[in-house]
Amino acid sequence: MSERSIKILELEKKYGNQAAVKQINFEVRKGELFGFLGPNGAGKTTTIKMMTGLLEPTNGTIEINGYDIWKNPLEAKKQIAYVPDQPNLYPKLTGWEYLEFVASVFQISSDHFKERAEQLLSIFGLTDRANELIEGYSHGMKQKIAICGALVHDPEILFLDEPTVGLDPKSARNLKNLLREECDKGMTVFLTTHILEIAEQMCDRIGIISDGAIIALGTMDELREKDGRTEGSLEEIFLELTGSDDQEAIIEEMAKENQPGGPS
Amino acid sequence: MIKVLLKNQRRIFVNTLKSQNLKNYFAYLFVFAVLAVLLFFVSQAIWNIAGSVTEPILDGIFSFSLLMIIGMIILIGMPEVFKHLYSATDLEFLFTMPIKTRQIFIMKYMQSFIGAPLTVFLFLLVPLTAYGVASGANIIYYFVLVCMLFTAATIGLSIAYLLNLVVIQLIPARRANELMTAMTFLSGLFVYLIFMLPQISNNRSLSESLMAGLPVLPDWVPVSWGSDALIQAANGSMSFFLPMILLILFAGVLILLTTTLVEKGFRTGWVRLSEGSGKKKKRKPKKERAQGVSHPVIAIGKKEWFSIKRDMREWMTFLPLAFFIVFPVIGFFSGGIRLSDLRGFNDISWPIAQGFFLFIYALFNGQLAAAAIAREGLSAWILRTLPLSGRDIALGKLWISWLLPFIILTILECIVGVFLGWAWWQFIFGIVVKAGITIGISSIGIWIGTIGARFNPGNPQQRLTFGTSMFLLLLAYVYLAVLSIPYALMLVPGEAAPFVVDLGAESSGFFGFVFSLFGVLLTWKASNPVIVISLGLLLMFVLSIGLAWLFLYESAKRINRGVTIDIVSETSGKTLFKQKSGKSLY
Repeated sequence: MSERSIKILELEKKYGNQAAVKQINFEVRKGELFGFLGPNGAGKTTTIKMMTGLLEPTNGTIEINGYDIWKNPLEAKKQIAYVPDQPNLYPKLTGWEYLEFVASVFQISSDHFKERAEQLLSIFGLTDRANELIEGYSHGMKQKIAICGALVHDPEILFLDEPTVGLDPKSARNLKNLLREECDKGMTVFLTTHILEIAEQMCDRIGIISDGAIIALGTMDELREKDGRTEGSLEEIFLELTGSDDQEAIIEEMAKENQPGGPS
Repeated sequence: MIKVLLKNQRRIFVNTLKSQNLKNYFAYLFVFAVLAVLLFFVSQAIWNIAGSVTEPILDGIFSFSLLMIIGMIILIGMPEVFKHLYSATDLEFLFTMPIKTRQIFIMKYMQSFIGAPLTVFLFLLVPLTAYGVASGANIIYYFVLVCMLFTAATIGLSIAYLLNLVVIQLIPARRANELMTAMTFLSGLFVYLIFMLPQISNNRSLSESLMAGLPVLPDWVPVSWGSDALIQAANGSMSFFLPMILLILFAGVLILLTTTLVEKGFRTGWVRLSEGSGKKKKRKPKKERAQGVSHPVIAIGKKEWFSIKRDMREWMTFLPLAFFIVFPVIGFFSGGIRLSDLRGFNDISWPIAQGFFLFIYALFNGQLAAAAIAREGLSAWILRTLPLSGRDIALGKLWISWLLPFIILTILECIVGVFLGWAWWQFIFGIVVKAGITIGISSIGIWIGTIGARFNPGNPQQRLTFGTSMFLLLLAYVYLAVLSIPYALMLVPGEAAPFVVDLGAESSGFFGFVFSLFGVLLTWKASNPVIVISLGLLLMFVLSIGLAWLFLYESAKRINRGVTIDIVSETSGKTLFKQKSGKSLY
C-alpha cells in the first residue's frame, strides 16, 4: 500500500475572486479506498472534476499514477474511470452498447469484455435490461450502468462522485463489497459521499474538505486523535470539524420552543 | 390566481433579462437592429406604393397578411406550444399546487403570445400602419388594424394549441417528442398548402392573383372578413363592424374549443407524457449480444449512428430533401412532361444532376457533421474522461456524418440515373468524384461544430448557434464553388471551348477572368482530353483531401483544447450555462 496512485499538489480553483478549492495537498496510495467528505458546496465535486480532467485547475498539479492529467491527459485517462453523481449517458444506446463503446475505447479484447460485462451486469442486476435503451432506465439503473462502464476496463483508479445516491440497498451493498474487493486486488478508489456510515465502514482513509480547504485527513483513528477522542462516530467528528454544532444547537432550541409549555 | 401566475412569469422574464451577459445583450440589439432595418425597408416600399394600390389589390394584400400571421404562428408555434404545455419544467411544481388546471393553461396561453405571435403581429402592424398614414386612411382603420392583427394572432395560436391538445391524445406518449417534430413538418406542409391554395384552385400563383387584383381567397374564408373590415375602416365606412365581429367571433369559437380540451388534453396529456418516459421500449433480450469490440474511431462513429438511427428528430435534417426533390418532381410531372421525354439526353441530364446533387451535399454534409459535436450535449463528460485524442473523436464523427448522406444521396442518384438511362461510367464517375469532394464539406462541418456547438435537449436539430450555421453554409458553398471548377472542367465537353472563350472576351472583371481561364482550359481539353481530365481529377482530390485534412487537424486541436457546448434550457430556449471545458477533449 505504499505506492502512490494520486498526488495532489497546491491544487486551487478560482471563479473570479472566489476560491472554490484553496491550494489543497494530499496523496492517495495504490489499493486505497479514499473517502472525500464535506458539506454541500465545500468543493468536493470541483476537486473530483479537476482530478478527472473535466475542470481545469487555476493552479497546482494532479498526478495520476505519475502522469499529470493536464500535461499527459491521454496517459492519465488510460488509468482512470469516473462515475459522476448525475450520470448523463447516451440515451439512445442500450446498456450493452454503452459498455461495448467503453471497451472499444480502451481496446479490451472481445472475450475479456464479454466475460467482465456479463459479470458486472449480473452483480448489479442489469442482465435482463442490458438490451434496453438507456433513456428508459431509472436514475438508479443509469447509476449502475455507469458504474459497470467504469469497471469494465479494470481501471487503476476509480473516481466515484456520490456513488450510492439512487441505488437500492442491495445494489449499494453489492457496490460496497465490490469496491472493497477491487481495492484489495490493487485498484485505487476515490469517492465522495454524504453518507458518513459508508465512509466509516468502507474507507481506509478519509479527507474532509470544508470551504475549499482540507480540514482533516487520515484514517478513522487518526481523525479521532485529531479531535481529541478515543472513540466516537465519523458523524460526530464531521459535525464538529465542519462547524455544524451551532446549527444543531439552534435546531434543538427551536424544538424546545415548539414543545407545549416551552418558551414562546 | 392568474394574476399571481402572470406576476411570477413577469418576474422570471425580468430576472432572465437581468441575468444575461453583455454578449447576449449585443446579440439582442443586433437582432433588433436587423429587424428594424428590414421593417424600415418594407414600410418604405409600402409607403411609396400606397397611393397607387387599388382596392382589389389591397383586399388581396390584407387577406394574405392575415393568412400569413396565422400560418407563421402555426408553423413556429407548434413546437413552442408543445414545450409550454408538456415539457416546461415548472409544470410538475404547478400541478402539485392548489391551482386549477384551467388557470395554469390560461397562463401558458397568455405566455405564448410573447414570442412568435408578438413578433409576427409587430412585423405586420408597422408596415400596415405606414400604409394607413401614406394613404390617408380614416382613424378607425388603426383601431381595426390592431384588432384584426391581434385576432389573427389569436386564431393562429389557438389552432396551434388545438392541434397539440388533440395530437397528444392520439399518439403514444413515448413517441410524443419525436412525433411533435414530425407534426411541425406536417404543419409546415399544411401552411405550404394554404399558400398554394390559390394556385391549385385557379392555376395562378398567389402573387399573380394579388397583382392582378383577383380574389386571393374565397369570401367564406375568415381572413377575407378581416380584409373586408380593414378596407371599410380605411374608407371611413361603418360597414367594417360586421366582418370584424365575424372574425372576432371565429377566434372566440376557436378559443372556446381549445379550452374545452384543457382537462383532457393538457393535464392528462402531461401525465401520460410523464409516465411515458418511464415506459420506454423494452426489447427482448437478444440471445447473441452485439458485434464485439471495435477500433475507438469506429466505436465513436457507431455510437453516433445509434443516436441518429433511434431518434426520429435526427432525420429531420434530411427533410429538406422532400422540398428539393419530391416537390420539384411532382411539379415537373404535373406540368405534363413524361419520363420518356427526358431519357437519352445523358450529356445534359447527367451534368445537371451532378450540380444538383453537389448542392444537396453542401447542404447536408456540413450540417450533419457540425451537429455531431453538439450531439454529446449532457453526455460530454464521457468522452472527456476517456483516453481519446481530439483526432480520434473528430475522425470518428467525420466518417459517419460523411457516410450517411453519401449512402442516401447515392441511392437517390442511382434511382434518378436508372430512370434517365445514364451510362455505367456516368454512375461510377459521379459517385466516386462526389465521395471525394464531400469529405471536405464534412470536415468543414466538424470544424464549425467545434466553434459554435449548441445543445437543446428538446430540439436535436438545433445543434449550432445561428451565426456559425450561417458561416457553415457560406463556407460549404465557397468550398463547393472552388471544387466545382475542376469538376466543371471534366463535365463540360471540350467542344464548348470557343463559346466560353467568346463569353470571356465579352465579359469584363472577375467573371471575364473566370470565363477566359475556363476557355483556355477547355481549349486544352479539346486537344488533350485524357490529360486534362486526369489533371482535373487529381487537382480536385488533392484540394478535397487537403482541405479535409486541414479542417480535421484544426478540429482535433480545438477538441484537445476543449470545446464549449451551449446547453439550452428546454422551456425558454435561453442558454442555461456554458459547459466550459478545460484543455483536454470536450
